[in-house]
Amino acid sequence: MPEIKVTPLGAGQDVGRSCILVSIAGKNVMLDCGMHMGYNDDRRFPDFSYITQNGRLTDFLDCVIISHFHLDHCGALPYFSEMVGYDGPIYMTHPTKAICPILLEDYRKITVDKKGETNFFTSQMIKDCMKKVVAVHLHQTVQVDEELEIKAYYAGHVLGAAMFQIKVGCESVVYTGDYNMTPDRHLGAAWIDKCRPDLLISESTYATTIRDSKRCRERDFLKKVHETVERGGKVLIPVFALGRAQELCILLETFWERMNLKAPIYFSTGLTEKANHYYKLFITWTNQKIRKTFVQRNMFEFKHIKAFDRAFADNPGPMVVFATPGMLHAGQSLQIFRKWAGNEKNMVIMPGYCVQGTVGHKILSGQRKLEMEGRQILEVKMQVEYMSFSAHADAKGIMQLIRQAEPRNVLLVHGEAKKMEFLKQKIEQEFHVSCYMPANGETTTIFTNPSIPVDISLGLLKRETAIGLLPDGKKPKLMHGTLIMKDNSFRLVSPEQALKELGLAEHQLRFTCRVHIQDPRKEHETVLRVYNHLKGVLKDYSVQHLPDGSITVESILIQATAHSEDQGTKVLLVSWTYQDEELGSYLTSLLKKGLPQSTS
Amino acid sequence: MAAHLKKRVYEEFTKVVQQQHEDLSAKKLRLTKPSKSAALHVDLCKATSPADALQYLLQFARKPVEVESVEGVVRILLEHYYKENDASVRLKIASLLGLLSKTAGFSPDCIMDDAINTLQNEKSHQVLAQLLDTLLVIGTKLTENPSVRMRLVEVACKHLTDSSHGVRNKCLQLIGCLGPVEKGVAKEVESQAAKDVQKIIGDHFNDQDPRVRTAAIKAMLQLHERGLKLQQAIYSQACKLLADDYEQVRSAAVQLIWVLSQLYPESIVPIPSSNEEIRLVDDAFGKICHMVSDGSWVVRVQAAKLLGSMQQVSSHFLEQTLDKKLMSDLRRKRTAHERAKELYSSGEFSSGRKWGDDAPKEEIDTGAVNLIESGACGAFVHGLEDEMYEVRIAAVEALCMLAQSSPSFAEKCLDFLVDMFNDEIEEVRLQSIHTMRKISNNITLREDQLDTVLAVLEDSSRDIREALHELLCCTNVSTKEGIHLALVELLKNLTKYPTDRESIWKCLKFLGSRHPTLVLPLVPELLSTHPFFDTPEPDMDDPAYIAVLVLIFNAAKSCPTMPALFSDHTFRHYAYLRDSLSHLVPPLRLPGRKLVSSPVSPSITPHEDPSQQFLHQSLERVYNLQHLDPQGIQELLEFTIRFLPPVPLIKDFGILHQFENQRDFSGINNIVRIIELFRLEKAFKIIQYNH
Repeated sequence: MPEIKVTPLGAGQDVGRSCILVSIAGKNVMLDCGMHMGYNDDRRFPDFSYITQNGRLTDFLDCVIISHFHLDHCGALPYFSEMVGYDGPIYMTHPTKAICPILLEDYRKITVDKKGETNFFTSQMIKDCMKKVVAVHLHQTVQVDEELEIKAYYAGHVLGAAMFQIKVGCESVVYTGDYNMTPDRHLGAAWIDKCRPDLLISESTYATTIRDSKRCRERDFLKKVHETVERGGKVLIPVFALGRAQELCILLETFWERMNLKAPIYFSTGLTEKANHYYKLFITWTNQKIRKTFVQRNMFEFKHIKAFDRAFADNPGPMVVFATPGMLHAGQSLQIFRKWAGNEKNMVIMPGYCVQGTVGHKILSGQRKLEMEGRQILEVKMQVEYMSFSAHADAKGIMQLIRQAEPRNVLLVHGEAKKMEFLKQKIEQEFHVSCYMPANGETTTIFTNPSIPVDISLGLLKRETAIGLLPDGKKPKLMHGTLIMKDNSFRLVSPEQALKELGLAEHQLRFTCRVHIQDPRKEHETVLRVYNHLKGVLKDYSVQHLPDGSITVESILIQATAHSEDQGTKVLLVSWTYQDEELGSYLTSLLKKGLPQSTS
Repeated sequence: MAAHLKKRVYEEFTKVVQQQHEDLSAKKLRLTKPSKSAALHVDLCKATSPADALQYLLQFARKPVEVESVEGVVRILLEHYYKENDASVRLKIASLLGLLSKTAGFSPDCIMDDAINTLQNEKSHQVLAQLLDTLLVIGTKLTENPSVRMRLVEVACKHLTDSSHGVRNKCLQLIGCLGPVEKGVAKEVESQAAKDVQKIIGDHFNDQDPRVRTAAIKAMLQLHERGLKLQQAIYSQACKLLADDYEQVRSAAVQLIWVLSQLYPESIVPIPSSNEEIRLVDDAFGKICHMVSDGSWVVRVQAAKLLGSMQQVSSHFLEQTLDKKLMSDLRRKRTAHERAKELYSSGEFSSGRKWGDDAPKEEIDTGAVNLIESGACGAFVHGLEDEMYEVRIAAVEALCMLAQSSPSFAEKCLDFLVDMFNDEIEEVRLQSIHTMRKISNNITLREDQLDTVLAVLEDSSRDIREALHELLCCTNVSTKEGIHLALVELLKNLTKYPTDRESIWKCLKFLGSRHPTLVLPLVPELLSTHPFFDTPEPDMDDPAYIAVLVLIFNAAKSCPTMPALFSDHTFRHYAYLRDSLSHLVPPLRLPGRKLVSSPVSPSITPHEDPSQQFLHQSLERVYNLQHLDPQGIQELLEFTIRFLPPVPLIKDFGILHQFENQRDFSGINNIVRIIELFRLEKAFKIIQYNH
């Protein structure tokens, strides 16, 4: 039985280091190639020795697909392709291809330059790796080789995030990557057609959460910023360079526009600036509003938001500043925070999760006195707000996607085991499909029941559909023809054509049967009686009495001769081809019953 | 010259036609004008290739044909039709036939038989479909003739088994438009086809081609529109179509379900996989709600729109649409709306200070969580958050309609509507403001909601601001703080956008007349009047001051106690505004005030009241203090204080101001004592200020 095998090398019952191997109909595909943020040793990258112990990976993988540019989905790519060795195609969408190297370079800089690691990929390796990338468009079907094809669907989440359908023949797998089912200020919602894959591999970060409406959060956020600015305070928003930063920028920009506010908004230079450039370019990947208005004005060409300069932090009067990094653990955001923390008019808004130990986490847990380096005590008088802007599908969103795609099996990755357990149970209960959640290194095998396409000649199809009722899509239909299996293809043709093609002569198979009837009359009278009888019984068939004294019913021949010994017994010879087996046997059984007396 | 030649040619050909077609209707042949049919005939005869013929036909189709020559032209066309071998030319002829039958004043019954005859021998599916289309046109022109309709329907039924989707499509359309609607007629004409049009159409709900399925549903809807009562049995069929792969089918199916829910709202349908039964309208509502999260936005728009008109649905289901059970790590979480409400009722206004303020509270039973709702759960929550603004607008409209018919629902949907005021698309914001206005009779705004509503006043779009003013005109506010807040925000709006003046005044007019009792306690503060002290007279031309006055005067109309709080200049201003802005200031009955009718100097009036007279005298005495020796002053002051009348009557304190100008006056301290005695710190401030 055909099967699909899935082995997560990362992200199996875990978040981070996404890397999933899929074997489908003899093809091996690697989905994502990410790093793990929690580790600094070998565990940060997937264990590629699982694929092969020695040598390059090119021979073992048909292609690699990267869903989006977050490092936990693409961070191990240069290591994988350049250091381990892979020369096959790597597929990603255009925005991912554009932004991915920036993030990889940033990641490399931090690891090598700051932490001083040596055995790490180089800038050149990143470049070489990106040369192997093939960019794909949304909904474009890419033929990887003759049998394997892939197709990208919109996934929301971040710019350029995509879900991928991998298809070989009639078997298919959909990998969602990370996705978001509710639209936000700059991206739309994930969408997939009813492609009915054999397996849907879905992320499940928020497997046990149903989220509140985004609007309330946005409104709160705007209100807080507005109030602070109105009373002359400064607002600090620590963000990561990509993703939420742009969403919040758009949010504030439009609000400023709408409310005619004058206070300046700044974002820190560097990575964010570079990223904004790409957001400007990939308008087609954004949401309806931005796509529609970009003819008049590109929403990412901010009017009110300007680049930040270190000196601006001391300017008097209200302002809003987006600064990196997002957890206030270092860099510009921390510097500004230290400057502004003393004034109760100011405010800091944390738009995302903060890891324990960072300044962000401390102030969010209500700490008001912070010990900075040099035994300095920083008193935090400014207001501290928390606001969660996250772009993963919640439990309802995951269910909605499953409903849209109608898969036959579901496999959960990219989430915590406990939460997956709950969702798995729900999926099995609601959709009656089997659901899997393999751990890293654990192989799940799914048996498929693929339908096999058969070419049918048009002539035969027309002939066969003409018989009987109107074709009904929902019901199976019986067809007569010859199935030719040749060169790995299947064709259904009419018997005549099959014979011709195969150079065979047609053989006829005839059944002949003798039926004895007690009838003292002359032969031709018997024949006449038989004829009348059959004509009476078989009203729907053409029954003919031929001049040579035989009867035909359709193509069945009946002849009568007197028995050589007993003249009172007539022998009826019934002969039919195997095609008419049904009618022929019916006829013999009819004749065996004898002729009714009334017809005489 | 060319034109002349052409005309001659036409004339010649006209003769030719007369000879050729003597068997045709004599009336037509007697035409003296060069006939169109003749020219066409000649053209078609000349045509050597199908492409040429097609060209001629195309040219011909561009010009209108007079009513009297239509039949002739049709005959010519038909003749060519029979001769023509090329399918595309036949197709064009067929379409021309349809076009010609539409000609006003022409009765197409004469060509119907021919059209039906051509159907018999036609092999090309496209031409067949076009011919059926022509028949449809003919049929719609002859609707009052039942036998014609019956015949056409029969023809259509015959072709329903055609293998081409186009033909089946047209057949269904024809049946939908012409199928018998009245039961009686169907019985009279004992035709197989007429017996159950609904069944015939219903059979095609399962057709293999999505276009035919859509056509079947549309035909059913057409029958409904024409007045046929659809059978309830269709409901279950239609429900299955909701899961169709094709969006146009789903979209049409949603409509059909809606129609059925309106026809049989009270029927009982079983819930699959359980023994329970519910009303059909509730079931349909649940199903349509489900479609609000469909994959195709066309279907979502359709579903959201239709939800609005399902008013018979039970309130239990209705309220579910706004409910989205939140949870976080399997623990139930309250929505931001619920939290806001609680905070409000607990007295604390804004929050979000704490991280994890939205921390989940109670544990939920994992078995009880239903992630895919069978019913209406959260439909509007999804609809209002949709990616496409078309869907959001449709959802807002639907909310509006449902809220208008259900006050309790209106109360519930308020939070969601208020949220929509911050939508990114202006159209949606505008729509939600208008919606809110329409349902505002049913609702009273909480203060925190009002706060969000008022925040939109700063919007830079004038349309939005004006819509919001209109909304405020008919809003119910629950507290006097609410009124105050609204006034303050409106005045802010006025300073930011001075052009909004008229609209803001009008808004305050209604706000005042709707909430007289809430305005009453605010009057002294608003007018900055004081029981004792005269405050400086505000600038009469200040739009903000006029705004305040408009609010107060309109409130005073139904609150007779209010004018007592006015100071004199207020009355003068009233008279002025009553004349200059009569559309904003209502006539007031002001008891005991002649002022109203004749605004004269206020100094005449205050002496009528004996207590006031007394006060005046006492103060007069104090005024004369400067002419006495210090000892005498002391005595006199104490005397005066002792006999000063009860506080509320003292209004005319203007006399005190006269002292204040005399800085060298030694007895000023004593006057301060008078004031302290009455514990009027505010008044004290005024005096200090005036110094």
